[in-house]
Amino acid sequence: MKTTVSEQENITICAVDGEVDMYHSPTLLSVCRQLANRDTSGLILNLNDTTYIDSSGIGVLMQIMTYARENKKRFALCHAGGMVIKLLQLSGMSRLFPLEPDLEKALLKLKDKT
Amino acid sequence: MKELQINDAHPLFDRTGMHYQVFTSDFRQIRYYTLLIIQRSRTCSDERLLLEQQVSEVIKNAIKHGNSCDSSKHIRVWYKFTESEARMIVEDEGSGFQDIEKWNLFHRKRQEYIKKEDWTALTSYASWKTAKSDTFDGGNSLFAAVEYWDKGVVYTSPRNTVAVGKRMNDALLITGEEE
Repeated sequence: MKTTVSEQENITICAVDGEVDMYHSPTLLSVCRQLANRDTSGLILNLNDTTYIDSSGIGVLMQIMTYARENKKRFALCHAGGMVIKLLQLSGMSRLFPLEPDLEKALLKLKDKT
Repeated sequence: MKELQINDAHPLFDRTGMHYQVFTSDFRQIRYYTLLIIQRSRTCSDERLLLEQQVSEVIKNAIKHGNSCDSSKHIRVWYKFTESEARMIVEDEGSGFQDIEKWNLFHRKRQEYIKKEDWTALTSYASWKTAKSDTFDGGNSLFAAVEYWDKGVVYTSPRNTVAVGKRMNDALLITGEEE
C-alpha cells in the first residue's frame, strides 16, 4: 500500500494505492490521523487505485471518518470501485460513508459544506 | 433473514471430495494461506479478489479469534471449488464463538435499520465489537460473510468449526479467454 498526499482548495487529499488489508490498515490509520490534524477544512480519501480491502481496512476507514469529524473536518471517500465497493455494499457499510464517484465531485461536496 | 447457524448435520459439513490442509496459527501468513486455497478456484478475475477476501476472513477469524494467534495451535481447512459451488470448512483449536446468538440479534437489529434507511441509528450498529476486539478488528466481516456465502455460514455445536458455501454460476467463473 502506498499513500500520496496532496492539497486542493484547502482540502487534504490522500490517494490510497494498492491493498488495504490487515497488514497495511495500521499504517493507513496512522497516516490519516496525522492528515486529519492538518490545518485544512477536509479530508478526502481517493480509492481509485485501491485494489483490495478487507474488514480491517473498512474498519480503519470508519475510524478515520470518525476521527476526522471529531476534529471538525469534512470527510469523503471517492472512486471506490471494483471489489472495494462490492465489499462495502455486501457488509452494509456503503450507506455509512459519504461516497462520491470521483475527486471532482468529492471536492465540490466538501466545498459546499465549508 | 440471513444469519449464523448452528447445525452439526448441515450438508455444508460433508467433507467428501474436499481438499484438506493444516496451517499453523501465524497471523503473518493469512494472505499466503488464502492464496494456497483459492488457487484451486476457477473464479473469474472480477470475482476472484472478493472470493480471496472472504476466504481470508474465515482463515483470519480462526487464527486470530479462535486460536489467539498461538503458534502451537493449528487450523484445519477443507475446501472445494467446482463450477456450481465454492465451499470451505475451517476448524480451530479455540473455545468456539460463544456469541453467535448475540451476534444474530445485533445483525437483525442492524438489518432493520438498513431496511428503514435509518442511517443515523445504523451508525451505532456499524461494527460488532466485544471486549476482546482490538483497534484493527473491523467488526464487519460477518455482515459481509452472511451475504456472500449464500449457501450458509454454519457452526458446529462446539462452535470452533465453521462451514461456508457459495453458489457459483458461469458469470463468476473463468472464461475461455482468461485461461
